[in-house]
Amino acid sequence: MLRRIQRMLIKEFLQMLRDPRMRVVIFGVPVIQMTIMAFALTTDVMNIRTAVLDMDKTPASRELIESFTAGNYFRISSYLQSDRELSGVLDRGDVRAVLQIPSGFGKDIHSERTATFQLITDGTDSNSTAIALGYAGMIVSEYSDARQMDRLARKGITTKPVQIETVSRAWFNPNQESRFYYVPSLIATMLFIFSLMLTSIGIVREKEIGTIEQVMVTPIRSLEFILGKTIPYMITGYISMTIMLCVAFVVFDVHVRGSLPFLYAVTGIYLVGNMGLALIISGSASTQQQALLTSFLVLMPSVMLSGFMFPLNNMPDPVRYATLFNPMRWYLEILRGIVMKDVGLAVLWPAITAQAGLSLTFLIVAAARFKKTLS
Amino acid sequence: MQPNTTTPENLPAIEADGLSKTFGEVKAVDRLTLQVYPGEIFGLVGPDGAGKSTSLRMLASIMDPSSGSARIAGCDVSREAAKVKEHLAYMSQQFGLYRDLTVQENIDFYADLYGVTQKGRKARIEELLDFSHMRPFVNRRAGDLSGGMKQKLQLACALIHTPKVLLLDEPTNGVDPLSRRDFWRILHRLRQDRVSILLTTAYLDEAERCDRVGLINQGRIIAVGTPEEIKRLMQGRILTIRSNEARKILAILQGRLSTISANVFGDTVHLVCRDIEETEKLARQVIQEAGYPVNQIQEAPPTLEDVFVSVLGHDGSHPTRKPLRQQKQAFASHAATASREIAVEVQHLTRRFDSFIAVDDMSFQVQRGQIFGFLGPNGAGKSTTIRMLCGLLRPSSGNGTVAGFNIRTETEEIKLRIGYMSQKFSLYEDLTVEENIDFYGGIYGLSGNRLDLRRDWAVEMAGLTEHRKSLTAVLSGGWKQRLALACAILHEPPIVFLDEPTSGVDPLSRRRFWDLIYSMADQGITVFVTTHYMEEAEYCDRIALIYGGKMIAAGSPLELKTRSMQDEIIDLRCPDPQALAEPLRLLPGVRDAALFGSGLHIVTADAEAARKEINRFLQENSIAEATLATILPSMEDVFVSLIEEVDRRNLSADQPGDRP
Amino acid sequence: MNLRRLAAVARKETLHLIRDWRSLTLALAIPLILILLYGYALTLDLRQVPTVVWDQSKTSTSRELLSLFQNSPSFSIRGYYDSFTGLQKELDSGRAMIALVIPADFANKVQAAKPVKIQIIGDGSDANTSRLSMNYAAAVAGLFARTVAAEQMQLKGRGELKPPVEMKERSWYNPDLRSQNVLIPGIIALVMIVVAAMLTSTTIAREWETGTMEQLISTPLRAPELIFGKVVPYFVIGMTDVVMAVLMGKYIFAVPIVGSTLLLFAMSALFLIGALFFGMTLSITLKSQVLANQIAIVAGFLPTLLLSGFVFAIENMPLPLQLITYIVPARYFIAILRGIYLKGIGLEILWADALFLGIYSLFMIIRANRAFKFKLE
Repeated sequence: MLRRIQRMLIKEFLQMLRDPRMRVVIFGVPVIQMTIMAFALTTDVMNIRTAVLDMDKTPASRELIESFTAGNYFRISSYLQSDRELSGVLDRGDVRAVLQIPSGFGKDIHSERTATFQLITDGTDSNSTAIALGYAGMIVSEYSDARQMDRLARKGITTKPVQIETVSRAWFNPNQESRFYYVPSLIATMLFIFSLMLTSIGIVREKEIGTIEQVMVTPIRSLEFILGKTIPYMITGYISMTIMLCVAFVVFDVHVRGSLPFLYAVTGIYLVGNMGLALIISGSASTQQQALLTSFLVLMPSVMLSGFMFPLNNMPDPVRYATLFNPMRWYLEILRGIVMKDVGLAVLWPAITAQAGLSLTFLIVAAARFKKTLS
Repeated sequence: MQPNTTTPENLPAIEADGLSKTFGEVKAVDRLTLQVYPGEIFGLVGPDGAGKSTSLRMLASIMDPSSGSARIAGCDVSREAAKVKEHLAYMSQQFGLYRDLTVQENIDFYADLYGVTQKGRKARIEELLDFSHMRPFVNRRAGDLSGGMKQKLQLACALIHTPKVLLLDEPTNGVDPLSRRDFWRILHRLRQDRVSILLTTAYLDEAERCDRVGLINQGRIIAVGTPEEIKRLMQGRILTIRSNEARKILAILQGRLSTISANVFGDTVHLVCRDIEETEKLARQVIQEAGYPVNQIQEAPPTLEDVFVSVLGHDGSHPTRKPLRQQKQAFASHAATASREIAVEVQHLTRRFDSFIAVDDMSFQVQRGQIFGFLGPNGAGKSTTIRMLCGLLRPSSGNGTVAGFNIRTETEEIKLRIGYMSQKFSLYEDLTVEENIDFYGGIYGLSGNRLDLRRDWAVEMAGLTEHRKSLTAVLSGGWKQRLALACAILHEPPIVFLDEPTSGVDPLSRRRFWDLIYSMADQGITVFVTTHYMEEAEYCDRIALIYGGKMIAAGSPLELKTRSMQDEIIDLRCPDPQALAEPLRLLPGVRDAALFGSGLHIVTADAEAARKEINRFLQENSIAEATLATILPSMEDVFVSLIEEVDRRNLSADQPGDRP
Repeated sequence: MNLRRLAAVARKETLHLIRDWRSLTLALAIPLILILLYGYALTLDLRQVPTVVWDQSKTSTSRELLSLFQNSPSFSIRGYYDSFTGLQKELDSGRAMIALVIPADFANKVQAAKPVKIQIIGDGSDANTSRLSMNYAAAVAGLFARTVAAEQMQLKGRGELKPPVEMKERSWYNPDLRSQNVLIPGIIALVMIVVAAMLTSTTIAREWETGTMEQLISTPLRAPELIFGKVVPYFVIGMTDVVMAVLMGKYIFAVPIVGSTLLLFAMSALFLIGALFFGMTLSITLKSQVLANQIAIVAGFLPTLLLSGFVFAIENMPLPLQLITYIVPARYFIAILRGIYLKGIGLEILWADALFLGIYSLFMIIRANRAFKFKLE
């Protein structure tokens, strides 16, 4: 039995790695992907291009403008002269925000009235805009507090404002750098893509060419065949993960805080589950194209609903419950736990149990369906 | 399509001038030069990997030659490829149509590609459907057609634009004798329409029907001429001994006679010798001593296959017969006294696919050490039966045992004891020859020393010593087939299932296949084989003929030829037999007249009466050089006549008699 | 180029698609799921960030602060703990994203108007979310401070204080900052790259793998006819997906199209052609279904998802990456889509983006035709 599996493995590796282009796809692409993504994926908003339409032109208005540019959040890129230019700069996307200060702003501040101004933002990127508005709110309230102080001082009242300082600390990732966060996410995603797609196609291709028939009349058991078809992809998955971890360490200085053997062991559960899914898909598909599309159909929601880019908490309840059946969601939780938080079985046992349960279910379904496919 | 630009009759329609193709270091085709004239059928024959397909591809302008030039209908294949394609029809060896489209849709697609006008199209399609007998199947998916139908469909698609030149790459490969007859009928019609036809074939009886034949070996043409001219290359004369124990006779004759070579062709031993009288005397004596029955001993004109074997058989490029000894040793582990044990037995085996009954209530027994031939037209249910026996497919009802194990419940046990070679080539094309062997050896549990021995054996047996490290994808069709067989019997199983093992394999390798099969059978290995080569059916100990999922006849070749066949066969040798087939068929008392080798076989219920009619007909048409002989039917005659009888019965029972 | 032969190839390819109902269904189901996912489930907005609290002060003042958190849609307090380890456990297990620690002297210091520190601990393993929620938390604390200050002023009998400065916020094009308004147009690009590049990437490779190519080469068919003919049915599917996306956007997610619908479809067609020929090029050069498909995902789908400004704003990326986005065609297409959908602008502004899309499509068409050697090797 072992010898037969060993032969299957050799054959699979020969087939998989004979084509140099395939080697690049399997081992090179994850590295490139990780490098790009770890830099690209940030929702942080800085240097928002802002135009200023200052109709007041008083020291007060200039002070307001200065307070906007003081942080790194807003960057004044142009000064407008009239209302008419407003729609142009926003339509063209030259700026993301316009600070419009009406004439009389300075006068209102010095009298006891409330001075108003307008911040017009481009809502076509609602996420960045919301964040920018948050920053603007803080800037304005600071500015407003200072003016309030001035007013009170003029009346001879000295008062200390209530100062509630917030001390923010981010655990596990003190500088809150996205790369720490994306390294585990990308490992989970890449493993998912490769193990699911390559495995399911590998099996369907044998069906398509007819080699599966020749193999099935040999004494090989279907279990051996399945193992022979899947183990190479699991090994490739491990190699791929190792390469990604190395790159993460060398390039991004991200290292695994938790136990490496534990990480590799839990990854095994994940990979086995993926193999089960791949077997289910390959059992139902008769052409490579079908296998690819079906894998993609499974893959996309799994990645999107794993908490990778979109926080799970934001999802509507039914969808959140659905994510309980998403193997990648659990794996991501485990991976982040091990890589960044250095937690172990004591904390991760619910996720690991869920992961193992899912993997087992996939395997059972796959085994039942695969028997049928062969006959 | 463009009647105004017809090439003059006397100019060749196909012209190759020093055409060469090199793949890396290998010269696949070496300075090929030939001409084919309008209205001529030219057959290109040669061993596997001789460069036949490559030549055809270059002529079809789908592959650029490394050097040299070629012209099709006067247009250069490299520079005027677009024009060439207008005049040309090409049929690739691989099935090149879309399996998920229907017959009609495939034909329409090609009609559009060739720009056949709407006006002429309908008539042309009707004509093609009629003459290929495809009309009942227009709405069937191409993938569901049987092998023979597929080939006819592919031909129909290629002919949609009435081309001037037709290039066919092994068009009858894997096609049963009935469909093959149809196919040749079509080719002859085209020939009458002055189409130039260049084809490659592994069936040398088909090559006999060609106007001219080119013998190609290692990329080089070594002889061109009419079949008669080619046959003159033969050194020595041929003594034929027809017997039902032909193989055994060959065995005892070998080494006792000073012949140039000795071979078996179906039920006949061919001895090539210098002195015919001397040889005949000696042969008779030896056979008599051994006590084998002999039907006929006579001198015969050489066939193309004789020439092929004698010209190419001694060539170093081809595996020699030497390894046979080693095989005996290799199989010695299983050697056992031939006993009357039952190796395979089935009762009332039935398999349905939805409403379609692929195998219908089949029962038979195969004894250990027997070579059991499974014959039948494409789609008769042969492969389905074999798949059930191998445990690949569950029977719908009925039961059976293989090597004593139940085919329903003990498939794993069965798989340990069988070798199986499927019809479709099914090795890994992206692995090398050795890697494929190692893989199959490994999953059959071979390792270490034994695997090394078997690997060497397999490589040599398949004649791939020089190609051990080649990717399987680049091997020619015949080579792949040999490799597949080698892989199927690596583990020396006691029962071997071979589904068309020799289709597309050259005559020499076919003989080696059969030598091997015989030596396996001698050692008690049971061989279950399907084939479309009727002369191979003669080599079997027992034959079952199946048709429409049912077994319609079974017995030894002799039994089938003498008992199951009610009609008599008259062999007619004459010039241009194809032209005579139609009028002869209309004569009273003649049931059928069909091409057989280079002559005609006429089927009749009463040979005496029919001979009179035929003689009268020959005189009326002043055909002098004809010879008539009433003969023992060949396997092909039996095959065709049994199937036609079933069709007739079905027809009279008012059932549609279309062969699926 | 012979149009009849082209049409024949297109017809044949359509039949393949119809026969392979499963692939066809998938080609329509994948967009559907994408749209539903982005429409319903996926948003980057912060809502209900799970928060745990260690309130050492336990006073009405601290409770007032916490009620501000509780009432904010951004936070949801999941539990109170009396020790650091309690908080740690929640953060470790990922059950909480944010932990607040209110010091024991909180109420006293606030009353005395002395500076006081509260601690916000975020789970940095999800850097984006934690940073955002920590900023939000700081804002909530600031709001609390101002409320208290105003109250204190009032208590001191100074009457109600008017704020000296007030900012009016207006977001053009998307006043409510609905993320659907932004994501739905972007999805059109994603859907098209998925369907177009994934489906076409296998089509030529399949003809080589099944051996039908050899037969095709022997006919008068020319390479461009084959390529263009094959693209036609996939173009139809792609446009069907666009229509589906637009209709779903309009009727299910109520995303209005301010600009010209006609222009929207025209631009989609332009992008689709580029995507189709991108898939074709892969299929032609790689001759292997698996490989072509993997590359289609890596070089087509992922950049469209990540480097186009669809989810992650290009301006927020580091400069080298921003430069890379210039070669991602989806970047231009998404700019066009949002321009038409939300801003209602036309070619007078979008001409540069449209021009680039045109160049890209043309380049891909030429690339596919150049790469195709209509011969056996």
